[in-house]
Amino acid sequence: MTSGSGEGAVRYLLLQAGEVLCALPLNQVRRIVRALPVQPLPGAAAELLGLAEFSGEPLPVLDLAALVGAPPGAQPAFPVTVVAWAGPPAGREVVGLTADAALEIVELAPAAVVAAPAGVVAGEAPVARGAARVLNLEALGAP
Amino acid sequence: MSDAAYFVLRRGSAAWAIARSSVRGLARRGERIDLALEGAAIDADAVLGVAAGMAVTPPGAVLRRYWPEPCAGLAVWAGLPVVVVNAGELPAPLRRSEGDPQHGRRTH
Repeated sequence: MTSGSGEGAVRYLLLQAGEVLCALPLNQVRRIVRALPVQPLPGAAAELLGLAEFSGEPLPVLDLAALVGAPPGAQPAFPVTVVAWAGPPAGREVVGLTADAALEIVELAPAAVVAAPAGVVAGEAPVARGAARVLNLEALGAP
Repeated sequence: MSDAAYFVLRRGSAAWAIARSSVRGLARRGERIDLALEGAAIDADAVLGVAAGMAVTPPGAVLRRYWPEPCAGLAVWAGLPVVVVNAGELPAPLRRSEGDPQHGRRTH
């Protein structure tokens, strides 16, 4: 685990999405599995890859690279689906995020995150591998 | 869990379910299957089966944000994720265009 530590450090799952690193708060992660087969939905926005089945439940699966506007990277060797909680606490739902790789757990001090305008990308923070976009899936349900 | 029975069909890349009670008739048309509804019709690539006791989850905000089509919910049938639709408000990918000579044809 990389330690960016300091007081009140928060743990994140570091993901590769195209050419971009993304940090997803660990408390929003429910499971990481090998990329689930997805059935595309005709007419869906580019961010929505389609629907998958996970533990007997239907799961909307989003393309993390499209979600953060990342350029596509090399063909991933071990793509994953991160099953995560999204939306505000009062209306929390489960979604899948397809990423090129799950890399490691990192700790980031809140002061290390440079805030971005409200949205799924809450800010950016330095990690050992470079700069990571810090995600906030609570913003996903917002129109 | 719903007691209703649904026809599960494939159209394009997705699987769809529609309440059996809203289907007025079924007919084969070449390689496709016509489902006649009240005032509308669906031509399916295939009817996969009939589902009973399917748990239907209402569409969440994420789905509505990235796929703004009317739907009654999502379900899983035989390991397949399924979009459950209302006969009275079909999503665009299931609706026939007005130019389709089969539009609105009753098949029973």
